[in-house]
Amino acid sequence: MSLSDENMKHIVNSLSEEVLTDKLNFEFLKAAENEASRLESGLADLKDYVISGLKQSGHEQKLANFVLRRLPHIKQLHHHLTPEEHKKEPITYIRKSQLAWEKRIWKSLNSMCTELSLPLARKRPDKDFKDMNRKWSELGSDEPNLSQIRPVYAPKDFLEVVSGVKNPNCNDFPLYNNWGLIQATLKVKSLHELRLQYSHMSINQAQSGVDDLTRTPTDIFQGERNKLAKKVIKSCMAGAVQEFLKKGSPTGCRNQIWNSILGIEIGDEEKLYYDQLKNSVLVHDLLVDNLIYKDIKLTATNDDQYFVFEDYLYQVLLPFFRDLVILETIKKSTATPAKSYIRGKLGNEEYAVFYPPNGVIPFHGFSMYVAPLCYCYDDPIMLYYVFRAFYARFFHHLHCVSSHQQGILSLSLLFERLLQQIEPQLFYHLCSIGVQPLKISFKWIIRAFSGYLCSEQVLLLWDRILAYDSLEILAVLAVAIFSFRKTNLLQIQSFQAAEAVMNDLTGLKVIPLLQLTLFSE
Amino acid sequence: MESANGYMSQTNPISCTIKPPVPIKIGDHKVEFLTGCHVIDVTFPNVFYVEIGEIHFKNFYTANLTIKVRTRTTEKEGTSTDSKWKTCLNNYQLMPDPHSDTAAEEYFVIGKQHVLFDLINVIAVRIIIRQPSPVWKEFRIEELKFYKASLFIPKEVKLPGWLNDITDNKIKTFDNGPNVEELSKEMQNLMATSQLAKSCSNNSTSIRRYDVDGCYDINLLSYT
Repeated sequence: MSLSDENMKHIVNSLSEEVLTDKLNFEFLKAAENEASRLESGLADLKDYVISGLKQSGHEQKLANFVLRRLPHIKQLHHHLTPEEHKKEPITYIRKSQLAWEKRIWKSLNSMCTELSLPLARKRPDKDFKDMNRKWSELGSDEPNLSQIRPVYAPKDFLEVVSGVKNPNCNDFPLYNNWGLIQATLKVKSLHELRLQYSHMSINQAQSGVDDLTRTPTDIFQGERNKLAKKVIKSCMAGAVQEFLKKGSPTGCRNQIWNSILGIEIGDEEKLYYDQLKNSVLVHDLLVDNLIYKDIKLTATNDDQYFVFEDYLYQVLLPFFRDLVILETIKKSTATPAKSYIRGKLGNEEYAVFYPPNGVIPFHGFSMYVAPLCYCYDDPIMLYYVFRAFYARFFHHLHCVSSHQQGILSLSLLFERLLQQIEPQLFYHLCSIGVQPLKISFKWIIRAFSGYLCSEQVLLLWDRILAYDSLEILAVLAVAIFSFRKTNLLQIQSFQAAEAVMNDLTGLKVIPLLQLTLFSE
Repeated sequence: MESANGYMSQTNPISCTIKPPVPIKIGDHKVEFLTGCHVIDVTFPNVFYVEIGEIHFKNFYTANLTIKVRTRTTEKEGTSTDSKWKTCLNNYQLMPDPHSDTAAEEYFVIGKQHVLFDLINVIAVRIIIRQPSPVWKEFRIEELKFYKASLFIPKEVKLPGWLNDITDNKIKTFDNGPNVEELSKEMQNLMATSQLAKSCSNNSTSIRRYDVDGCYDINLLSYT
């Protein structure tokens, strides 16, 4: 790709700005100071000496990793007249849809508060503060009264919104109307483009998730993969690690591999930051906490695979909703964080605050974004930062209407287009009996399959999300599952029957399914 | 005034008259047949001719455009008007995929690097906008403005002094004997660096607040 000078300058400037505000800058200064203090010869060599010292101590590689991590997320250079709202979302009808949807959510949250006579946020009484602090690692044992709390919205409600998004400038021309539910006129990748993108997953390449499951002796393959994994981790080169992950991660090294790509290192600063978030949880009682409690009870606690991690989920999710780093991500996306005023100061901008502090209102199933990660990380603080990185990089796209290629709208459209192309007969049959395939697959996609597949398979799938830096694999997998259950689906005549066929996905092996769909022709 | 991304925003555009777009038709004019091609004529009423450095506009579902200009030419016998339309930008792509939303509402700047020749002595501009896809009800360009010079001024990031000087060879003069001024400058840089390091260590540990003076009592969300 050729870049104009302007764009190149913009990218370099944005990256430099990010480096200067990152803690990496501080690390560099510290290291440079160290190097300088060790200088023995004349001052004339100072700069060369410091620079070569920084290279040798691995700081150059750290900078390269930082650039690699941030480069795909640099916002494009905008024209000087571009309004802020346009920078967030360039397509007007999509922006309007998201705004209308947000208002609905806010209204529903407000009416729940009014009905139950609960405030959105209040200071926790001292006694509760102490109780909670004492029970921090076993919060699940002492739940608040949740009988009247209900999730603000479920994937089903969101599907209605997503399928209602329509471009008013689009002609009602039968040929251009999608047979599926999604009417947005977005560009999605073709099967051919996906094949090229995921070429490392092709059938002639040995994969974790396939070749370690066969009956033939797998120790050779696993041994080789483990050896290579250790080598790339040791190299500290995030790019090499990401390339390695394209063929999946050996179970034992997954946490290190993910940390390397997401740039996660837990130092004193991170621990302190987490402690401050924890303190915010103790000080302020939010209604959103109750939504999260309820969600965990309804999903993870009810799940054979995840109920053991219940207490971990509280320790991650309660601080998460108070983290302002997430608020910054949300502000840059199509979503708008909800606003409110401190009690008694309505309309006074000095007392305007965002609610919840991180700008995210959870939906039914939100806690399942964290649950599978508990299998890889046993330290709640590490778990917290990994989840936060995953959310900021990927998951926030899954519950916001946007024209982003990773957004739920694009993924839903990609699913429908691919299914029509790969299984036209099946798509036609399902439509003719009034079963829109997206009505079945939407809940899988919005939760990134967490809670539907067995946890090991979810992790293998998330390996590929991280390695290819894309959520598109979710739509491909949804198509693959329809293909796999095709014979059964062709015999059914009702929505209930279709749901029954697709109800249990726990026995599926995702990587062979993906390979079949992408590369079988 | 400089905006965040490095554009000067206080230059006035060249005053001009933009006529409404005229759809191009084929054959019988009474028959409705959409060719997906409109022409926009622009004239500059208050001046004889203008120099155009940049053309700014916001797209609305136009797939590509061509820009033609009519110029005043200075020939041997004096000044005369060239009646021919000369193409300065041919089939410039605005939407990479005309059937989908990508870049359909994007802001564009056509500068000197895009056009075939310098736009000087311009009398009139003709913009031909096209949309070959039948998916869309309408297409146009909005907020069309002409500027004499480029508004873009690349913004430089201020790097710490010790980084800025890396490429300098000035320091080599030390080899020939110490230079007090240079030396003191370097020492100052070093001191600035250590100060910066200290302030960094203070800043990075402080948490930004979501509450107001420790208070976060909220009853309802506020929206209109």
